[in-house]
Amino acid sequence: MNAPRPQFAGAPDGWASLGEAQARWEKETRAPYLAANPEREALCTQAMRWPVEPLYTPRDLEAAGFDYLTDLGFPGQYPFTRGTSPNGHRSRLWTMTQVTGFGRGEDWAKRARFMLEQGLQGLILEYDLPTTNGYDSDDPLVAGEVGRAGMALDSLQDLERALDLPFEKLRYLMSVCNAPQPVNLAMLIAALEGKGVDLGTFGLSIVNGILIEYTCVGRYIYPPEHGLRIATDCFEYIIRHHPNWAPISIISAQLQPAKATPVQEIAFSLSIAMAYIDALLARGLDIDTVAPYFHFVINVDMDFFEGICKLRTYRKLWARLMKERYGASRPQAMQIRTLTSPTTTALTLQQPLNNIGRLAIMATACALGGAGETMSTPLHDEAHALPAEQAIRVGAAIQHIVAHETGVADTIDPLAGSYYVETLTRRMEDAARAEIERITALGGALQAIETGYFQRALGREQYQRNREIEEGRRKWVGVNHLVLPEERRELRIFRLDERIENEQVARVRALRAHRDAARVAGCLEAVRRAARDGANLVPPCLEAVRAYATHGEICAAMRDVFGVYTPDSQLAGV
Amino acid sequence: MQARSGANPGARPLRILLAKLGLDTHTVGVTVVAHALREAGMEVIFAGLKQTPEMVARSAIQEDVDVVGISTLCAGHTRSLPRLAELLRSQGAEEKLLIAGGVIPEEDRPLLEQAGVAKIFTMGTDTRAIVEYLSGWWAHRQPGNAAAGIAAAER
Amino acid sequence: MDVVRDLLAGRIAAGARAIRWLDDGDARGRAVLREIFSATGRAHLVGITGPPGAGKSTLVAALIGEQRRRGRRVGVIAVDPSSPFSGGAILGDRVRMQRHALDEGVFVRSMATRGQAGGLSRATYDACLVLDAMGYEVVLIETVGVGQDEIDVVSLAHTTVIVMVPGLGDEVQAVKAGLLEAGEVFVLNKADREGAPQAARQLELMLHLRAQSRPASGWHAPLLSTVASREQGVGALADALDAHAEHLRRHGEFDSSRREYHQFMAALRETAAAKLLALAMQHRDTAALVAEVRGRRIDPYTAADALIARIGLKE
Repeated sequence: MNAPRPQFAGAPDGWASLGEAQARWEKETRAPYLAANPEREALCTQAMRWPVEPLYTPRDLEAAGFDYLTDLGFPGQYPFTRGTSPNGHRSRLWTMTQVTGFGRGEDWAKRARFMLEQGLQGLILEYDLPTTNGYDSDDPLVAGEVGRAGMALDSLQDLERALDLPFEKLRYLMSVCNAPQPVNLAMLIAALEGKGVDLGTFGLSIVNGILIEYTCVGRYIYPPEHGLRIATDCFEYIIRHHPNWAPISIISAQLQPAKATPVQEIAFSLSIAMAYIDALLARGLDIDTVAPYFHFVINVDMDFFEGICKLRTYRKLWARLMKERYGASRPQAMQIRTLTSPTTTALTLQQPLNNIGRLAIMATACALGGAGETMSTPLHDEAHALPAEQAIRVGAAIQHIVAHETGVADTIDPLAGSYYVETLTRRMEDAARAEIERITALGGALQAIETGYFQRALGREQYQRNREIEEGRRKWVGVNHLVLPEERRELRIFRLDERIENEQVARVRALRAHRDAARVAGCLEAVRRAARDGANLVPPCLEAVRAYATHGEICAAMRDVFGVYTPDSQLAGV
Repeated sequence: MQARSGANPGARPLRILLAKLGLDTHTVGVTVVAHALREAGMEVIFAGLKQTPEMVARSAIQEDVDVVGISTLCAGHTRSLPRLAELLRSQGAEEKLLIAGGVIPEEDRPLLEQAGVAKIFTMGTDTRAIVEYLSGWWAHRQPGNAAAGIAAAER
Repeated sequence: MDVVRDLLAGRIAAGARAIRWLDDGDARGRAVLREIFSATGRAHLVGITGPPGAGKSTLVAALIGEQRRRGRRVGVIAVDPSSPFSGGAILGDRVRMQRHALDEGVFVRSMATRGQAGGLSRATYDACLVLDAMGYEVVLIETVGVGQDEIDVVSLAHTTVIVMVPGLGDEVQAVKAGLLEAGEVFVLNKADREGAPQAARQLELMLHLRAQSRPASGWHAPLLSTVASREQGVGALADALDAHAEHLRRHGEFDSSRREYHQFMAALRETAAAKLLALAMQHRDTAALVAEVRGRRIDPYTAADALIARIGLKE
C-alpha cells in the first residue's frame, strides 16, 4: 500500500510538519483549556467502547495506511465502500417500509392497505409465535398466543385472505419466517398464484435465516444441521424457479437485542452467510450465481458514527470475502444488498416522544452510511406493543423528511474522507476480519452454534451492557438520565380481542373437516419421505399446501424425521 | 450483597429456578438476571425456554428451590402464572416464593398477586433491586428465626 | 412431611428436601442418611465425565431415554461449578434433559460444586444415596467437565464413563491425566466428525495396552462410538453399562468396599477437620499463637502443630 503521501498544504515535508503543528496546538492551545475545563468522562464509542480521540487528522489516515483507491474506490465499483449503486440515492431513493402484521389474515390486510396509503411501498409479514414454532392455532400448547406477535397462518386460506391487496401499489413483500420456511414459501407461492400475481415481476423476499435464530432469537424447531438443510432447500428452489426473488435475508439486526457489538454483528452475520454459501456450493451452484442473492438487514444504533462505519464496513468486507475467499468475478456477487433500519433497542418505554428524535437521528445515520435498497422505520411507540396508526404515520414521515428535507441523500457517501470516519471504518474492518478468522478456525458458523460460541459471547455482552446502564456509566435519557420519577408509563400490551383467537381456532378446525383427508395424508407422507431422502422439501410442501394441509401438520411431519432441538442452557445464552 | 458468605460455612445459598413460560424465546432478560443473581452468591437453576407450568412445578420440586422466577413476554401469563401457583400449592410447595418479570401490565397485577405471585418486576427493573429484594427475603428465612424456619421446612 | 418415610416411598419433594439438607450441611440431612442407609446399595451409579465440548449433556439426555425404554427409573445429578468469587452458580444442565421433564420415572437434580475441586460437590455422594433409597435403579452423575483432574467421580461411581470428541487432542491428554487408567467405559462422541476414525484407533490402542497390564479376568474397557445428538450408539452404551455392573456383581465388587471406603475416608477427613478446627478456634491459647504467627515470631506450621498438641492434651 505505497501510495504517494498526500501533501499537507502549507508544509514542505508532509505529515511531519502537521505532527509538529498538532503537538504545538496540544501544548499551547488545548492543554491550558483542559486545565480549566477537564473532560466530562472517559469518552468511548457506545458499543465497541473504543476510546474516542479528541481530534482526528490526516496523520490518522496515514497511520492506518489509508489509500483512496484501495479502501474506497468509486460507488458501484469494487470494493463498494462508497456504495453499491453507481449514483447513490440521486436517481432512486431507497424503498420505504415498516413492520406490519398481527391478527388474522384480514386484519393484516386492513393494516397493510392503510400503510400503502401512507406512502409505504413495501410490507413485512410477520407471524405469530404458534406459526413460527410450527403449530396450528388450535394446538393446546399455544393458547393465548394466536395472532399476537404477528399474523396467524394455519393454512393457505389465511394467506389468501391476507393478500387481499392493491398489488399495483405494492413493490415489495417480505415474509419473516425461519424454521417453517418451506411451508411458508409454499403457501406464498400458492397464494400469489391464486391472486393472479405475475410471479416473474413481483418482488417476494423470504427471510429463511434459521442460523441466526440459533444464535439469539430462538425461533427454531429442528436441530441446526437440519435447519441449514431446510434453508438451503428453499434457497436452491428459488434460484432455480423464481430467480427474481430474494431467497434469504440475514437479519444481523436480530443480534442487536442480544447486545452484539458492531464487530460481532458483522463477523457473526458474515460467517453465517458463509455457512449458507458453502452449503449451496456443495450442491453444485457457483459463487457468481449464489452470492447476488444474499440480502442483509442491518440496524444502526444511536452511536452515529459507529452506525455509519458499520454500513460501510459491511459493504467493503462482503466484497472482499466474495472476491478473495470465493473467487467471485461478477460485480453483482460482490455488491451487498441491504435493508437498513434504526434499531428498536435504542428506543425507550419512558418518554416515548423522545424516540421520534432518536429515530430521526438513526434514519439520518442510515442515509449517510448508505441506506441500501430499503429502509424500514420502527415506530416510536413500539416498545413491545404492536403498531398504532399515528405511530405508523410518524415513522413513514421520518423517512420522507430525511429523504427530501435534509440533503443527506443528494450526494454520494458524503462523509467519506472524514479523518474520524475513515479511521473508525478501518478499525472496525480489521476487528471484524479477525473475528471472522476466529470463527472460521472453529470450523465455521454451524460449529460455533453447536458449541455455543456465539451464545456465550452474546451472554457476556448482555450482562456487561446491563451493568453499564445500571451503574450509570452509559447514559440513557429517560432510563437513567433525565428520568421523570413521577412518570407512570403504561406498558401497553396489544391485547387482541379473544374472539380473534377463537375464530381462528374455529376456522382451522372447519378447514380440517372439509378437505380431502386421504390426499392430505398422502402429501404429508411425501414430505416425510423427502425429509428422509434429502430431496428438496419445497415441492412436496407445495403439494401439501394446495391440498390444504395445515401449517402445523406439515411442520410436524418434518419433526417426525428431524426431531426437535433442545439446546443446553449455555446454548440458550444463559 | 450476598445471599451466602464464603466466610460463613454454615450459610446456605439461596436456590432459585428461572424459567420462561410460553413460546417467546427472548433470553436477554433472563440471562442478565441469572448472572446478577450468581454474582450475588445465589444458585440459579435454569429450567429453560418454552416451559409449561407443569414442567416448571416439577423442576422446582426436584431442585427444592426457595424461589421460582418466571420471565414472560407474552399475554399468556394471566393463565399460566396462576396455573403454576396452583400446581405449587397442590403439590405442597406453596412456601416457595413465586416472582415474575417481563412484560406484565399494571392491570394484570391484582389478579396475579391474588393468584400467588409474590412480586412482579417490570421489564427494565434494575437487577440490583431484584437482588436486594431476594436477599432481604432470604435473610428473614435464616436461623435466627430458627424455630419458624424448621417448622416451615418440615411442613 | 415425614422426610424419611416419604423419601423411601419415592416421593419427589421428600427426596429433594433431603438432598437440600445434605447439600447445605444441615444436621437433619445426616439424620436422614443414618436412617435410609440400609435401604441403599441397589442403584447402579454411573459417572459421566470428559472435557468441555464433548457433548456429555446430550449423551446423558439420550442415555436417560434409553434407560427408560429398558424400564428403569433414572436419577440424574448434574454438577456445575460455583463462582470462586461470589459463591453463586448458574446450573444449566437440566435444560438438555427437558424432554424427560414430565416423566415420572426421571429425577434430575442440579448441584453446584460449592468450592469443592475434583468435579463434584461434597454432597454428591449423599445425594446418590438418597436417589438410591428412593428406588432409582440407575443414577447418572454428570461432572463439571472443565478439566482433566476430575477424578472424584471415580471413587464414587460403580462405572465411570469417559466421553471424548475427535479433534480435541484428548487421546493424549487422557493418558496424562490418568483418566485412561480410571475409566471403565470410553465413548467417542460426535463420531461423525472428521478425525473420528483416527481418534478411535488411537484410543483403542491405548485401551489395549491398558488391558495388557491388567489381569485377564479384569474388566476390558470398551470404546464405543456415539452420535448423541442423533441418539446413535446409545443402546450399545447402555449395554456396556449393564455388562460392567454384571461384572462387578460377579466379582462381588458391586456392593464393594472400595467405594464405601473412599467415602468413609472423605467423611472422616471432613468431619475430623471440622471438629478439630472448631476445637482449635475455641482454645484459650489460639489467640496468642495467632499473634505469634502474625508477628512472624513463629512459622504457621509450628503454630499449627503446637495448637493441635495442646488440644490433644486436653483430651
